[in-house]
Amino acid sequence: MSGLRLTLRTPPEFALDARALLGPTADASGPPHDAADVAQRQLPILYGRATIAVGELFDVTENASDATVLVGDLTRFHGLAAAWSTGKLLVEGDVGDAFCSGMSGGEVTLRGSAGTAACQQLRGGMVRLTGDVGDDLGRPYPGRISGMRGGMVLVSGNAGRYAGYRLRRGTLVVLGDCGDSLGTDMVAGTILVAGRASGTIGGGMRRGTIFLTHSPHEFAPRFTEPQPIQLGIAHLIANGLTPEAAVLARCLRGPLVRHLGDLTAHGMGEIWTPAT
Amino acid sequence: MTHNDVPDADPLHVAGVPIERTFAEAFDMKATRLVLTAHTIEWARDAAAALVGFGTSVIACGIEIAVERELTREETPDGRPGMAILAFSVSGKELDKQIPRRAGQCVLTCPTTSLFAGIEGSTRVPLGKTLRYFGDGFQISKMVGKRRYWRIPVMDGEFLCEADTARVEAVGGGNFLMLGRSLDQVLIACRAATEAIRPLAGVITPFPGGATRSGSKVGSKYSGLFASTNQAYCPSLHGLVEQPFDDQVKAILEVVIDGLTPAQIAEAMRVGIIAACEAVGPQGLVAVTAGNYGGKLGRHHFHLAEVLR
Repeated sequence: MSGLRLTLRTPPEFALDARALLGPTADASGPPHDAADVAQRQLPILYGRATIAVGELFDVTENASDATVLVGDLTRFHGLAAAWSTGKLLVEGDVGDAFCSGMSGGEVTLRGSAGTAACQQLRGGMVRLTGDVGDDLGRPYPGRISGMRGGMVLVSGNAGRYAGYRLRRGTLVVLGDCGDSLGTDMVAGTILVAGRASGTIGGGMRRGTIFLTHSPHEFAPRFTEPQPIQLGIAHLIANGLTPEAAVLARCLRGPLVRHLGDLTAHGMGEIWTPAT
Repeated sequence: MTHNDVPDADPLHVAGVPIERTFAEAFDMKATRLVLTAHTIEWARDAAAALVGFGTSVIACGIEIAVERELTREETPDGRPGMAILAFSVSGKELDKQIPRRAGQCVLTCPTTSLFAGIEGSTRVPLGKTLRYFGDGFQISKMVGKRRYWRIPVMDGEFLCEADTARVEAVGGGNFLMLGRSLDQVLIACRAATEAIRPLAGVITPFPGGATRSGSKVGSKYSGLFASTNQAYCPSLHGLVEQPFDDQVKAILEVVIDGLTPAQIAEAMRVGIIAACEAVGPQGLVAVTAGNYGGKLGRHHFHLAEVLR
């Protein structure tokens, strides 16, 4: 879908399952292809049997841009941009939970904040969030073993608890602070945090990399003592960052120390911090 | 190689040196480029010297491999000084065999080095995907964008190596021969030619110093040898065998050029011939010619008159 602009008239009274708004539905195999198609799509009300047509909530117009644009307070829309696979999406306003679930490609920009479980099981593409995100950023679908497995997520604000839970592949970048339990049970992948991370970090991580520009006062004893090390891969990761993350790139190119762990899991995960 | 003895009705000259109206015959090859970096340029040079060792000719070395050029910190993926290295082979299979073997013994072993792919393409040549097993389970894979890297723990830190590099179609065997009035003169001409070719992108001159004295012909009187000295171009045998030049010629050197594209080889030949001729002039060179097999073996024909046009 491209060239559509959806402007919310008034926020709905009920929480909605918005996966069908931009993604495949039971009746349609792909994203909507024109204004009429998207306007007739039905969004189920969560915790009920009723549905509501997109056209009743949004003014749908076609625009000259090749990007899809969503505007309004969308905090009651859950599952927006689920399975997004190609093209550009711009969302102006806060969104609900499970934003960009299972996304596999394309570019999504959110000028606002997202609820919990944003980017759960992301598989590819680039997601930019200018505000904050709730808990469980990049987690697995409920019941699944592996979380995010590709792509890049850039959060300009803060992230809640359990960011990068069971991360399998891809890169999570948080320019603000992170809540407790960052990178818990990581399988692989990369998490970069420019702000501060609290509580246990990397608990149960088997592999993967966490980079913190602010070293915590102490690490869990399940990690090795810090070792100064020259890491060419840090330079390559820095090269791949977008300009918004320049502070992280600068730190990654500087001297680093490394902790290996979690020793109770496999011990091949690593936490990097700048050498002091 | 044979000399294509075309009557020189309209002689071409460069700096007064006659250029024979013949052509260099070159062949399709497979090629790859590696980017090798290290903590200092000295370590990068050391690793590169080992990596390209015994890589002059596919006849017995398997591949033809040489340093393309030195790279600045700004040109390398990890911001360290490095070297671009080009390798050519007659088959992709041979390249797949030689590159990991050389990388494992010559780059992985050298302090502070890292190794990266230096060329784009869909067909892949293994690097880290083979060498990673040296990590014995302590190796770490890392995807950055769409590229996979392997990090292998070693005694000075870790060896960073891209999983694979690309293999592309290329051309090998561009050449020209300098017919010298003396050994000293042809050596000066040869150095001038290879120094002029050295900065060019996409080409290498794989022989020592960029030139060879052992121009060969196909086959031999001895069974089992598929290449042997080309007596027609050995001035020391003048009067004993038929030769396409007179006794003014006392020494001959050949510059052999492999390149990623025919255009790059043609440019290298042009630059090299001009430099050689200008270095010693007709007092040093009797003529410049090129080697070919009558045009029957290689599909790339570099006519000297055309490359110098």
